[in-house]
Amino acid sequence: MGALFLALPVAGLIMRCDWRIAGAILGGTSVRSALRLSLLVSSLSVILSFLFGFPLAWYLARVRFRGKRLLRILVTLPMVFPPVVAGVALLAALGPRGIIGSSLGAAGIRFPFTTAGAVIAATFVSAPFLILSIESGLRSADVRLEQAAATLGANRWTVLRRIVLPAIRSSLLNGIALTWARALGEFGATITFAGNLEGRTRTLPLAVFQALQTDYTGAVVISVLLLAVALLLLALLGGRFFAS
Amino acid sequence: MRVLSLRRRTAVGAFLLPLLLLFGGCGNGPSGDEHAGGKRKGEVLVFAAASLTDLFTAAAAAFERENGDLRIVCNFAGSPSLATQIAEGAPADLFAPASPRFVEAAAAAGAVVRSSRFARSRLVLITPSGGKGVVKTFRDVARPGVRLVLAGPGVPAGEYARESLRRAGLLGGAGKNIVSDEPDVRSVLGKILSGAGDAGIVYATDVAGVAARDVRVTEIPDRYNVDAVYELALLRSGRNREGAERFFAFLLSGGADGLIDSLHFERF
Repeated sequence: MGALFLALPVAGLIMRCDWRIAGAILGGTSVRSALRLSLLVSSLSVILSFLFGFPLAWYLARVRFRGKRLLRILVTLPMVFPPVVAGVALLAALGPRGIIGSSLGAAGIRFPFTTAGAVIAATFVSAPFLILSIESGLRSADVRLEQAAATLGANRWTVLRRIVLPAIRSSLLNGIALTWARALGEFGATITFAGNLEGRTRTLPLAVFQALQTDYTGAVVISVLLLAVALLLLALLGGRFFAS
Repeated sequence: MRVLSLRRRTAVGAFLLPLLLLFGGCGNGPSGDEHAGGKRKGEVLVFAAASLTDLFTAAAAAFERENGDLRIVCNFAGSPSLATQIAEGAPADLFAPASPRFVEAAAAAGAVVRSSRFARSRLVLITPSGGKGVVKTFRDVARPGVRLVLAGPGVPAGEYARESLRRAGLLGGAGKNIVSDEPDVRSVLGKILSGAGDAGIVYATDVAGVAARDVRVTEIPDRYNVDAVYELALLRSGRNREGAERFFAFLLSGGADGLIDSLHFERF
């Protein structure tokens, strides 16, 4: 029963997809622009999540400090945020009238209606997946190996590259796959915070939403494309999800 | 609760319909009141343009006060989204888009029993209140760097706004300033209320209930302005023809004139 319930919508999508016109729709400039933008935005989100998330995950996994539980709740929070609420929250913080957005605006930095805004929205909702994955990887990695390497004269960078990253490889790849898929599917925060304009903020999910208003068949085709891209990412990066 | 919170999610509107039927209701009456004198209340499902949110919410409440046996359930969204949902088999009783062309298309598909134009609305320019906005007059929307928010090109409010800009000879400059194609006109208002955009074009009726301290309203000169025409259609797909006929008649009757007036609509 459970499997049927989960499989039915996917089956519906595939069966309602009109393959004869799929080529024409997917080749159209608006879909190609949305695909390009989606890949750009989600890749940048993953990179940003890693750059800012790795030190945070390290801190959570290896350093003892007061308020750790609070910090972990803070990191987990965006995962349970309804995406629209995330968008409103980003506006309240970084919008032109937001708590730091007004100063940013004075400095000429504005996020709403820009691709950078879409990246921020996607990063906000997806980074926790990567941070928590890396943290769990670091917790199960053997600290003694790192200590041994350091004793043998390896500098911190070498330890990170030769010991730590290989040790957490599996959780890192899982985390990247989940983060990427979440960033790729981001809709609510993006349309709320960054708006909906072709080539700038209209990623694939927004293109589906746009098509749905005028062209249901087109919306189904773009949905199948989005699903395929997400599956491909999971298969490439998180192949072990499918291993029993 | 209110149906309003669902507006952003028009994409999944068709799937939300069951929820809408459970929790919806345009009026302010207790929605749990399913039974009147032991008899189940009839429901009329109305698909209305986002710009009709205030009018239909008030009209449904007034209608329900006089017709205790009926409950009006409204689904508000951009007209093209509503048209798609109806074409995909949503069991709507009444359809009220912001342009007659959607009624014409539905009629061509054999979905309409009959229809009648019932109201009109005009466009206004809105800008964030307070602050030092760069947009003071209609012509300012074409100034370089203005972040202009419009409804998308397929949405009536977006088409009317572009037509109005074209009449004023501003479409070239203003076209480059468009930063977002919103799914319905109320989302344009939202982007200005939050201060995200510098200027937007909506119907005068959308800001009738908004305080002056939240948004600044600037008239668009008559010679450039465009009338939105609202047409109400009785649909074959409905499940409650008799109830739908009664709400249809109410909206066209003198009983609704006061509401239409007070929300700055005009009778067609």
